Amino acid sequence: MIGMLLLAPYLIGAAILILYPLSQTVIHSFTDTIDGEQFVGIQNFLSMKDSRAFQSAVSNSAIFYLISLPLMVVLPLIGAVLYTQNRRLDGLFHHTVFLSILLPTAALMQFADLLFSEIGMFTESLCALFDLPIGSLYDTPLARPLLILLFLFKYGGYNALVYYAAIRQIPEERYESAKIDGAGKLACFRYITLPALRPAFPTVLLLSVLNSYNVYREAFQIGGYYPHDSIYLIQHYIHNNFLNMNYTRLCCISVLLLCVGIGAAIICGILYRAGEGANET
Amino acid sequence: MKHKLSSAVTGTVGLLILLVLLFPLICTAALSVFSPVDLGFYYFHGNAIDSLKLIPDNFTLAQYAQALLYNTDYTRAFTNSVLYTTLTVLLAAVTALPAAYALVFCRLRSRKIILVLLFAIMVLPIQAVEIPQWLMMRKWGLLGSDASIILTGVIEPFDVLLLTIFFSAVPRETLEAAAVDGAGTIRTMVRIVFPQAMHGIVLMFLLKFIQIWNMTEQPVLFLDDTTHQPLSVMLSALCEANTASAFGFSMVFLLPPLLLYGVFGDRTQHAIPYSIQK
Repeated sequence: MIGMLLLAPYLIGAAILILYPLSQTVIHSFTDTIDGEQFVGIQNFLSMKDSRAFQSAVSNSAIFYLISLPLMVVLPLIGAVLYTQNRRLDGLFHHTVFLSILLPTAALMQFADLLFSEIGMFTESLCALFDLPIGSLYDTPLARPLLILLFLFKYGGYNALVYYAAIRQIPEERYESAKIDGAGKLACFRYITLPALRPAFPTVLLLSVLNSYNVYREAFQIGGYYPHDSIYLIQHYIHNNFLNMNYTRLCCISVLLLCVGIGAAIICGILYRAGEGANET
Repeated sequence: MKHKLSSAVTGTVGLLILLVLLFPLICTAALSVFSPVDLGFYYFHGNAIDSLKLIPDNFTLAQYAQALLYNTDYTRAFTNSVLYTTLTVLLAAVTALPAAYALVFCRLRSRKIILVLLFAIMVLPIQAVEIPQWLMMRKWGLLGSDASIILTGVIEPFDVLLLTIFFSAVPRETLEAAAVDGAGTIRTMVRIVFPQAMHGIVLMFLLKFIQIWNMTEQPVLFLDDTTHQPLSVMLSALCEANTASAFGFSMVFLLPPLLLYGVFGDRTQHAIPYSIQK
């Protein structure tokens, strides 16, 4: 009884501020205007599907995830393993990761400007290397790798910290007894570290996905509302439709993203279950 | 001998990686004490930059003075950010802390459903929620108000779920002992559970503060008047308009989270291993 009372403010808040507006949006995505009552079925979705801007926003986002998520899972793992080899860097590692999270996007982009914008240090040489007309890299196909790099840079450390903590919980004796049995470093990693990290992988994946929702901030700094085609993301599409006051379409996007979110939640849930199962056996 | 060598190698490589990760921050800090004239001379001369000069010719706090005293647009945005962040974090505390307590220690029949619901909300992209929230704020006539920004920042299930992890680590016997002594629920929560889970609570507050301090999406949509915008939204425009003080502007924006991290950071170091265990 008292439990429900303590929970109530939060649940009421979530219902009013998240669940209620979402439900309204689902309804509006099937009507002609956001104030109208006219039911039009899936017509809004069909017209959105044919929009070229929508197609490019979806495919760019998909490419972004396909490239960056595997990197976000693997690279921090290498970093974390490296740091567990040397205990003196312990505190420094922790502080660095937090400081890189604290660094505001605008400051990170100021730094990136010094290297890659029109006046950037590396701009000319990179343009020459990839046979591009000299100019800010933000307006070239290199904008995409640049965005992925910024994403890894900003949030990779966090994942490394998760791995690091998990590795630290492996009892030292296991490695020692493996060494006595003649196992090399690689074998130790393959048969001791990796299995112990299994519960950490879903956490890392989840954190990467949650952080990826913010990558638009970097993309926006790179190219404004109308960036290079290769980094035109869902958030840009939302913003452009917002400026055009195309509200039913915005509802459709929200509904699609809602489905994506629920899908992601289910996948993460399954992975967690699998991780827990592995832990018990 | 071999062992020493390999630890020296991993140490050096590790240090180098940390240096690369920290380099944007070091660079921003170094350039923030350059005088505006020197910045123009070394960096913003219209041509390609040929090298990164990080040692100032004339050490000056002119950029900081611009940010904190003279540039009224900047100070206004900064004040807005402080206001929004403080209120949001406080409101989040009074709602999330009891909610997490209830989820861990009270026998709720619907516990599982609520956890799944919170998890599902957490995984939703902000882009899926911002438009529905905008429509609702419009309907309620709250668009453009400070309340619209503060309210939408309060409910983020990540906070509650993180807290439940730390609360679960609190030994139940201490709660039973408190019950035997006749302590009520509120008393048990504040006196017994919170102190034992302090590391986790601090971590949650720190992450929440960083999250709200950097918020962009909702203010951009909800507020059309730039005088109400927080600094996180205005920073890049202000930097672009004042390149001579841009690095000082960034540093001042960084200061509040940096100060908090300086004060509470050591505690979070102990908290992170716990949060992974779960």
